[in-house]
Amino acid sequence: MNFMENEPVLEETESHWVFKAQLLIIIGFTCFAAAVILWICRLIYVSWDLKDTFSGSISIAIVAGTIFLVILSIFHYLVWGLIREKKSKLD
Amino acid sequence: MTHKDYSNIDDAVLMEPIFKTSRKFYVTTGILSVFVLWGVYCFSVQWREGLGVTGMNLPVSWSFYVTNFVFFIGISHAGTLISAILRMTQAEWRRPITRVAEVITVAVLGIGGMNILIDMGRLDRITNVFMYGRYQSPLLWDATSITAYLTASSIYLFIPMIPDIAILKEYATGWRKFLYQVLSFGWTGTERQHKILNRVIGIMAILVIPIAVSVHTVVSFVFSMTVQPMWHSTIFGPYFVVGAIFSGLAALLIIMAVVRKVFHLEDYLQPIHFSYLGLLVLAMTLLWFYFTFAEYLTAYFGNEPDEMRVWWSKISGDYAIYFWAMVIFNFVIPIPILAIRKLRTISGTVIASFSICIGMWLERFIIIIPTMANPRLHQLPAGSYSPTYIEWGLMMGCFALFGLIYVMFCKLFPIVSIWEVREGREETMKIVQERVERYTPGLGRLNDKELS
Repeated sequence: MNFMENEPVLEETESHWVFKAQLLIIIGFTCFAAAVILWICRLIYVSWDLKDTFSGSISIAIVAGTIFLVILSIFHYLVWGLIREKKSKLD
Repeated sequence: MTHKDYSNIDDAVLMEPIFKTSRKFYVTTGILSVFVLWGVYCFSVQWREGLGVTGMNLPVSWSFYVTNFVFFIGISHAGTLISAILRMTQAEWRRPITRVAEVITVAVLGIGGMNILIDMGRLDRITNVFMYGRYQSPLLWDATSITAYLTASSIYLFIPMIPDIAILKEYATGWRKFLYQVLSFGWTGTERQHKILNRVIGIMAILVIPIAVSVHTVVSFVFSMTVQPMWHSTIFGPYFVVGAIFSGLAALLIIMAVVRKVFHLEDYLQPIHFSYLGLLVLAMTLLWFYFTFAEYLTAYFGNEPDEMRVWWSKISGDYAIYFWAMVIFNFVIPIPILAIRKLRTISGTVIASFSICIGMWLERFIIIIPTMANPRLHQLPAGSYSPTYIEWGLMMGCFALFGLIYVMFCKLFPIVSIWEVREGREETMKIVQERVERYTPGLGRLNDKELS
């Protein structure tokens, strides 16, 4: 027996609500990551405005911002990859 | 009936806690909820009356909450970090334990962060952190790295759950079916989807290791970037990371034993898993002792008056009882249990792990309180600290909240990865054989000859 056995069969009749809820999760997570990145940008601005270790803030912010961008990209790659594969199979 | 019959499929036992609700579930959640509510009540008192209701004073302005914060963040290293390392090293025995571990991370990271909010006192000023935070402060590094770790860990927990959620979707009905349909993101188990999933798991495993290490390093920076006696140390970063993995592994062993017993997962979480993790804990015990020895010897040899005040308060002063209890719980008890093969049983490893968790909490306490009580500023008098019922209540509430989150997770999702276990069952032998043939001298060539 293959380990793929017992895995779900393709359902053609998943409601539109399911896709809408999935879209809500994707948008929610994107907004969260964007908010964190905006927050980091805001802190850089504050450090520049107050002349408060601007260079240090930039270096920390570059690392932190990149991490969130990478996580966000990975998430999008995964969910859209899975959804697109299912849709192509249904088509 | 709120589900379709699943009893005839493989690994049905993993789905039982999700679809069957026993009286034990209600009793457990009820008891845990009472403790959580007690914690909420304690917080409401603190919110109303201010931090004066705690045992904190001048100069001891960091105490139980910060101890709990460091402890919980440390425990979080059990999950994602251990799971990622085991995945990266292709340790085949990891399959039933990765999710047990990953859930710990997500649950305790939130609780750890919550302790800082509790410690803030004026929570109504939280927006100032967002508006006017300064990246000059290690506290803000902490906020950033913990947010990154929590986000990465949540994604890292969720991704390998997708195929299991798709399996659950087939058997659930009602709102649960909708939930699983949504969270499975159209998973149908095709080859392409498997490829995407494995690629993403691989990338995340690489990504979370440096994030996890950075988190506890940054937590240590909160202390070591100050010039407070016995905090201003260059080895605090690795010392904290080692301590975090140490306590995290211990917490993982305890939870594995509980999950095994409660959900009858004896076939999945076998004595060998406990033995292997026990050996890892043994290595971490020795490493922790080495770092502790190096830290205390360096401070003693320096003989700097302010440092020595704190040093002696730990060795033979007001905090000696906690210090020596820490040594006993972290080193004296676990070493024989974990080093002697006959004692390294499930019960043995759990006893050692309990001991380590207590010892590591005491270690966090012993790092924070004596230094706060004997500050470098001589204008301040030496302080003392004893926690009030508010702090005890909030601490109990935090532990209960962790239990509650864990129980609720087990009610909704399989605590052992079904698809990974199945994959292991089908492919482990082949994978391991191929790997051994690749690195064993002569064996690969022999096969080439046979093939030709």
